[in-house]
Amino acid sequence: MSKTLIQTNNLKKYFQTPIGMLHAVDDVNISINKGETLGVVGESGCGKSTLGRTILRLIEATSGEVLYNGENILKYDKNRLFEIRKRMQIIFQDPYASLNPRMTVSEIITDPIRVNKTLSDKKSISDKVSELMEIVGLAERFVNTYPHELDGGRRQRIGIARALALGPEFIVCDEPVSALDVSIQAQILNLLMDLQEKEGFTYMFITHDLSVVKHISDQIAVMYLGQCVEIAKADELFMNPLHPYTQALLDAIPVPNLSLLGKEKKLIEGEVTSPINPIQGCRFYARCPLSKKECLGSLIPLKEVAPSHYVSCVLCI
Amino acid sequence: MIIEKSNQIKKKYKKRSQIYSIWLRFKRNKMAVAGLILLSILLTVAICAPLIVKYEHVIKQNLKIRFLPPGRDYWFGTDALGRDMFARIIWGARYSLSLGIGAVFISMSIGAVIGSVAGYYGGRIDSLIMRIIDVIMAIPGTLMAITIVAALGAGTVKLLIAMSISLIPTFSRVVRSIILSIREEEYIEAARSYGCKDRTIIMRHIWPNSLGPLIVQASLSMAQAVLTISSLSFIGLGVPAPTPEWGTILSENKVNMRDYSYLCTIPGFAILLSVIAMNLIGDGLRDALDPKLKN
Amino acid sequence: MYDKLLEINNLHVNYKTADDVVYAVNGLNLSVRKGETLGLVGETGSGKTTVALSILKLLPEKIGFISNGRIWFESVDITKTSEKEMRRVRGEQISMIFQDPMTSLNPTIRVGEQIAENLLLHKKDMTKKQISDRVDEILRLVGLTKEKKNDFPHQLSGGMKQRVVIALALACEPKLLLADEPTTALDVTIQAQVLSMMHKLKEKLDTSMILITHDLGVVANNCDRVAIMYAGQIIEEGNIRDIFTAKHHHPYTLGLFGSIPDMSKKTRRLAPIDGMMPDPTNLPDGCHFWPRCTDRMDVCKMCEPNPCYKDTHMIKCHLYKDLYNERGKDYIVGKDE
Repeated sequence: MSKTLIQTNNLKKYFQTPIGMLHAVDDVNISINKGETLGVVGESGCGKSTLGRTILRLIEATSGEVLYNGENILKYDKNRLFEIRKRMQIIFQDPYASLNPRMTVSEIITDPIRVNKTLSDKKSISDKVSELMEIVGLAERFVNTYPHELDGGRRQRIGIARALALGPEFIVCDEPVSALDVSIQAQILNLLMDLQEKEGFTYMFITHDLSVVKHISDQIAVMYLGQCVEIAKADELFMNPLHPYTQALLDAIPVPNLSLLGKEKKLIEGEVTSPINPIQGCRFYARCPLSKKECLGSLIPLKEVAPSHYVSCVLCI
Repeated sequence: MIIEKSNQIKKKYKKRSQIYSIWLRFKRNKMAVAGLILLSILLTVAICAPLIVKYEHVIKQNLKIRFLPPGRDYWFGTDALGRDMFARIIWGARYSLSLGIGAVFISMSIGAVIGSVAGYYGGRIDSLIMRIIDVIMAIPGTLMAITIVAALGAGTVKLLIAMSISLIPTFSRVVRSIILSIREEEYIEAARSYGCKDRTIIMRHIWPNSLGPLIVQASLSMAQAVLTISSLSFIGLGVPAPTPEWGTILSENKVNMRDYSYLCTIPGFAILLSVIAMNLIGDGLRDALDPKLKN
Repeated sequence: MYDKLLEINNLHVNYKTADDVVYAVNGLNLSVRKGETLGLVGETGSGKTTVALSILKLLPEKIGFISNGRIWFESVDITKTSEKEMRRVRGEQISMIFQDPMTSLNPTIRVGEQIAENLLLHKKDMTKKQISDRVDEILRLVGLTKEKKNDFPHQLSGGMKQRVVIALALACEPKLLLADEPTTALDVTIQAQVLSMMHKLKEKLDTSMILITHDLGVVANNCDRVAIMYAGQIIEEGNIRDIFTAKHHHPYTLGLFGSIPDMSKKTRRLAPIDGMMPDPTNLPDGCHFWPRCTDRMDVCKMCEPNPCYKDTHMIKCHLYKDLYNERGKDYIVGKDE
C-alpha cells in the first residue's frame, strides 16, 4: 500500500570504550512508510538517539544498511550525501544547546539555505524566513532576537523551522518535547502533527515518554540495550504488549486517572544493565520475571506473531 | 502596501547589536569600567604623545638640572641626566603598551590557528601539536623570552618576536580547549546535519563562539606581556636606552632609587596602573561576553 | 492545634535582581496535615520550588525575600526563626529531596559516611555503634543492601543515587519531607520503583510530604491532596478525587489535562493552553491567568478572584463564584473543620 521510505538492515553501531565494546545499536531492522511516524521508545542508554543519528549518518555505522527509497545511503560519497541531507533533517532535544547562541533567529533559520545555496537573492531568503516562521508559529517580531532571549517552546519552534528550511521528506525528532513544560509540549506536538498532515513528512520520533509516543506514532519500536525487542502498530502495542519489557514499561507509566488506582502493578526489579559487552541472548534476561534458560545463548530474532507485530522473546516462538 | 508593511516590521524589529548588549552588561561592573577608563587614558596618552611633548625633550640631556624633584616646570622631576621624566613616561607608554598589544595580537593570531587545527581535528595532529606545546610550556614564559632575546640579541623588534613566541602556547591551549568544548555542542551537530563543511563550521559556528573567552584571555595576557616586557627591559634585554620604555626607565634609575625615590615609583606606578586596568577589563569582559547571561 | 503540620498564610516571595523584581510567590495559602502527601503541581516558573525553599529558609541570600506572610510549622513561625534555630529544623524536622541526585551528594565521600554525618549532626547522643546500625537500617528501608554504604556516589546508578538521597533525607525521621521533582531525572521503570518505595516508607514512618511535580500521573498515584500552582498562587486545591473526578475545574487545570495525551483514547489533536507563562516581573492585573484563558470575562482583567469552596474543593476563579461558596481571602482551608 504505502511505500517504504526508510529501512535499516542489521544496522550496528559499536563504540570502543576502555572497558570493552559498547553495543549502542545492535542488529536493528526497522522500516518507516512514507508519511507515517515510527515512535522509538526506550530508557536512557538504550541506543535510541544513536539509532537516529546513525540513520542520518551523523554517526557512521559499524555495519549494516540504511535504505532511503531503496538506496543504501551508507555507501554514498560526500557529494551524494550532501544532496541527500536536504531530504533528511533532525530536530534536537535540547533547544538551548542546538541553537548557535551568536546567531539571530533569522540567521539560524537561513543557515541551511546559505550552506546548500538553495536560494540566492536576499529577497527570496527573507521571504522564506517569514514563511517558515509563520508555519511554525513564531511571531515576526522575533526575527532578529537571539535564542537566549526566548523561552524553550519558541526555541524549539526555531529548531523546527531550521529543519524545515530545506524542504525535507524525513525528519528524525530526537526527544523534541522532553525539555518542555506540559502545556508547551502539547503545542509543539500539535505543530508537528499538523505539519505532517500538510506536508506529508515522515517522522522517526525518539522519546522515553510513552504517552507522547502513543499519541503521535503509527508504529512503535521498543528498544532495550541496543536491540529492538518489539515493533507493532501503536494501538496494538498498547492493547497487546507481548515482550515482558514492553509490559513492564507500560505498567510503569503513571497515568493521570484514578480509575486505575489500586490496580496491582507489575514492577520490574533491578536497573538497566550496561550495554558494554552485553550477554549473549536476551539482554532483558537479568530483570525479566519470566526468564528461562532458553533466553540465553543465541540471539533471539524478531518474529512476526500477529500481522505487523514483531517480538523478540522466546515465549512467543 | 504589503512591502511597505513588511519593511516597517523589519525596521521595528531591527537587530539589536550584540556589541551593545555586551556593553550594557559590561557597564554594570563598576571596577571594569574604571579599568576601561584608566586604559583609555593610558592609550590616549600613548597615541597623542607627540602632541603633548616633543620627542626631543625625552632624550635632551641637561646636566644643570639633574635630580629636580617633581614640580611646576617638570611635573615628574628630572633624572640623573637631567631629562624630563614626564616626557619619558608619556613616550614610554607608547613603547610599553604597543609592544604588549602587538605581542598579544601576533601570538593570538598564530595560536588561534594552531589551536583550531588541534582542537577540531583531534587525533594524531592534536597529539603532535600538543606535545610540542607541552615542551614549550615546560619552560617558564619569562625565561623563554630571555632565552630568545639572548639568542637574537636585544632590540625592540626582537623583543616583540620573543614575547610573541612565548605567548603562543598559552593561546593555542586556550583556543584548543574552547574548540573542544564547542565541538561537542549540539548546534555543531545540527550544522553538520544540513551539510555544513568543516571550514564553514569552524568559521561560522566555532570562531564566533570562541571569541568571547579568547578576548578575555587576550586582555589578561596583555597585562602579563606588559609586565614581562618591562622586566626584560629592566634586566637590559629589552628596549635599549635611551628609548623610554617603562622598564628601561626603571632600570636606568635603579641606582638612584635610594635618594630620589620618585624616579622609580613613577614608572613603577605607570606599569602597575596599566596592568591593573587590563586585568580589570579582562574580568569585566569575562562576565559581559557570555551570551547566555541575560541583561 | 488541629492536625496540621504546616500552614502557609498569604506568602509573598520576591527575587530582586539588578533591575527587576521577580514576583515568584504571590499570596499563597497552603496547609499540610500530619501523615498526608500533598502534590504541588505547576509548570516551570510557577514558583513551586520557591515555596519549598521558603519553607526551609533557603532562598538565595540577598536576592530572595519573603516580603509578606507566615509559615507555621507546628507552632513555630518559620519566617521569624533565626538562622541558628533553622539549622536544627532542617534535616531533623523538615528535609528536602532535590531533582538531580548527583548534585546533592558529595562525590568524594562514601554514601554511608554521608548518611552517618547527617545523623551525627542532629542526634548528638547516639553512639558510633547506634549510628552505624541506623545507617544499615535506613539503607535497607530505601531498598539498598548495606554493602552499598562503602560505595562512592559515582559507583551507583541514577536510581540508586536517588535512593541514597532519600535515605539521607529520612535519616533523622523528619516530620515533613519536601520532594522537588524527585523522579523527573529517572527512567520510567526506575521512577515506578522509587515512587513505590517512597510511598511504603512514608506510611511506615508516618511522614508528611509535599511532592512537587509537573506530572499529573505521578500525582494521581501518590498523593492524598493536590494543589495546582500558577504564577505564584494556588489556583485549585482539593483532595485527589476533587482534582481528578470532579466536574468543575479551573480553566488552567483543564488546560493541563488537555495537554497530556490520553492513553485510553485516540485523539488527533491535543488541547493545550495557548501562550505561555506570564512574565513574573510584570504580572497581568486581575486574575494572572486571564491572557491565556478561553473563558475570560471582563471582571477577570480587573479583580483578582477570591477562592471559592465546595467541601474540600477550592477553585480560585470568577466562573465558580455562584456554584461554589466564596469566602474571604484570609480564609484558610480547613481551619474551622
